Amino acid sequence: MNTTESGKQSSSQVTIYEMTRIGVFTAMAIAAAVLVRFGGSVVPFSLLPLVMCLAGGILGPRPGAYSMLAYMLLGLMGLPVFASPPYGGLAYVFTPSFGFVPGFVLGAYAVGVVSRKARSQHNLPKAHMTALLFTANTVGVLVYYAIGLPYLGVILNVYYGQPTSVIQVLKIGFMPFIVPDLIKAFAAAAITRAVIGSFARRLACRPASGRQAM
Amino acid sequence: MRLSDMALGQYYPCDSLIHQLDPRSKLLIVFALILGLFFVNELLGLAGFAVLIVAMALLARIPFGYLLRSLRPLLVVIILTFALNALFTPGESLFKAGFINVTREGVQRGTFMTVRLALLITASSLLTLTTSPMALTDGIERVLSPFRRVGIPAHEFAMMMTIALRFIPTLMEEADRIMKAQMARGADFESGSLVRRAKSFIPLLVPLFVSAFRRADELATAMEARCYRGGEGRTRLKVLRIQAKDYVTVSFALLSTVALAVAF
Repeated sequence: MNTTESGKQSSSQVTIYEMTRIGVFTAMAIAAAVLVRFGGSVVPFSLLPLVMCLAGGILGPRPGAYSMLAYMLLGLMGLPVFASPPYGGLAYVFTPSFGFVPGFVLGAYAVGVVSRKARSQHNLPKAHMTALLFTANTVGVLVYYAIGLPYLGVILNVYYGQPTSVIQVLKIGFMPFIVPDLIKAFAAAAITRAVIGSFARRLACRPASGRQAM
Repeated sequence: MRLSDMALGQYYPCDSLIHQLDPRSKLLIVFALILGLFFVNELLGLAGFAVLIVAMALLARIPFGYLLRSLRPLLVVIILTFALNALFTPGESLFKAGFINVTREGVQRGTFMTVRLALLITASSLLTLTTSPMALTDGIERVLSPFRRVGIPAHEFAMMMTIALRFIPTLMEEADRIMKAQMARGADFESGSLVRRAKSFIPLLVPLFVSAFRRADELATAMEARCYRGGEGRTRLKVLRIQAKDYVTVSFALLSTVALAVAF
C-alpha cells in the first residue's frame, strides 16, 4: 500500500493519497447500496458488508472507517444513498436498520486492525493470507452486528412501541443474513488478497508519495 | 446501469429566499424540525408543522409534485405503519372480522404515526431540494469544524465526500469498460449458477479496484501538483456568509418549532 501503513501518523491526519482512495470506497458503498436497490430484490440483500470488508482490508483501519463514515454523513445530510427507504436524511436515524450504518464504520476499523499483517507482509503463503483476511472480515461482520442488532431492538421497542424480544430481533436481523454475510466475508477475503497482491507487484513503479495532506 | 438516472440530491435549481439561505441555516432548521416532530404528541401539533413545511416549500417555489414525489418510495412503509398500528393497538373496537380487529385508538395512533413519518421525510427532502450537494458538503464542513479539536478532520471529510460523489460516474464507466473487456476474452457474467456468477465477478472487481486506485492516485498527484495542502489557509470561490435573512428565517423557524413542541 502506498501511504496507508507507512509508519505511524499523528492522530487525525489523512494524506491526499489516502483521501482520494477513501473517496473511491465511499463511491463504491453508494454504488453498492443504490444498484442493489434498483435490482429490486425481494430479500433486503446488501453488498455493503462486502464493501466494508474491502475498505478495512485494503485501506487499513482508519482510512477504511473514514470511508464508511463519509458514506454515513452523505446519507444523513440528505442524499439518497442508503439502501432502504427513506434512503437518506436525518430521519433515517429512526429506521430500525440505521444501526448497521455506524456498524459499518466500526466494522471496517476492526477488519483493518485484524488484517494489518496481510498488508505489511505481501509474501505470506496464499492460504495463510486468505485465512487471515477471512478471520478479519468475520470479526468485522460480528462487530457490525454487535452494533446494528441492539439498535434494531431499541428502535422496534421504544420508537415503534412493539415489544420485541431478543430472540425476535435475532430472527429479524441476524438469522437470515449471517450466512450470506459470511459468504461475502469470504469473497471479500479473496478480492482483498488479489488486490493487495497486485499492489505488491506494482510496488516498483508507483509514484513516490507519503507527504502529509496538511 | 441506472445509477446515472438517479438524481443525486434531487436538487431543484431556483432562485428563491430558501435557496439563497446559508446551507448551515437550512441544516439547523431541518434538524430542529425533526427534533420538534418527535416532541409533539397530538395530531394538531403535526398539523402546525405541516403548515410550516408547506409554507417553506411555497417560499422555495418548489412545485408541490416534487415534494410528494419524495414520499412515493415510502408508500409501502407508510401503509404498513398505519396498518400495524390500526390492527395491534388495544382499545374500543370499530370493525371486527375474524381475528382482524380495528380499534379507534389504533386508527388514531396509526394516523398520527403516518403523518409524522410523512412530515419527517418531506422536511429532509426540502433540504436536498433547495441545496446543491456541493453547498451541502460545504455546510457540513463548517458544521463539523468545531470538532477539529477532538480529532475529526472536518475539511478532509468534506473533501472526501466531494471526491466520492465525483467518482461515482467514473466507477460506473470503468466497471462497464472492464466488463466488456472481459466479455471479449470470453467471460460470462449472465449464465450459470449463483456461485458461478458470483465467482465471475472477481475478474471484474479486482481490475476495477486497481484502475480505480490508479485514478485516485492520479487525482491525488494532480491535487498535490496544484499545491493542495488541506483546509488550512484555503480560500474559496463561494464564501459562506450568514446574512440578515438567515437570522430572520432561522429564528422564525426555531421559535415556531419550539412553540409547537411546547404547546402540543
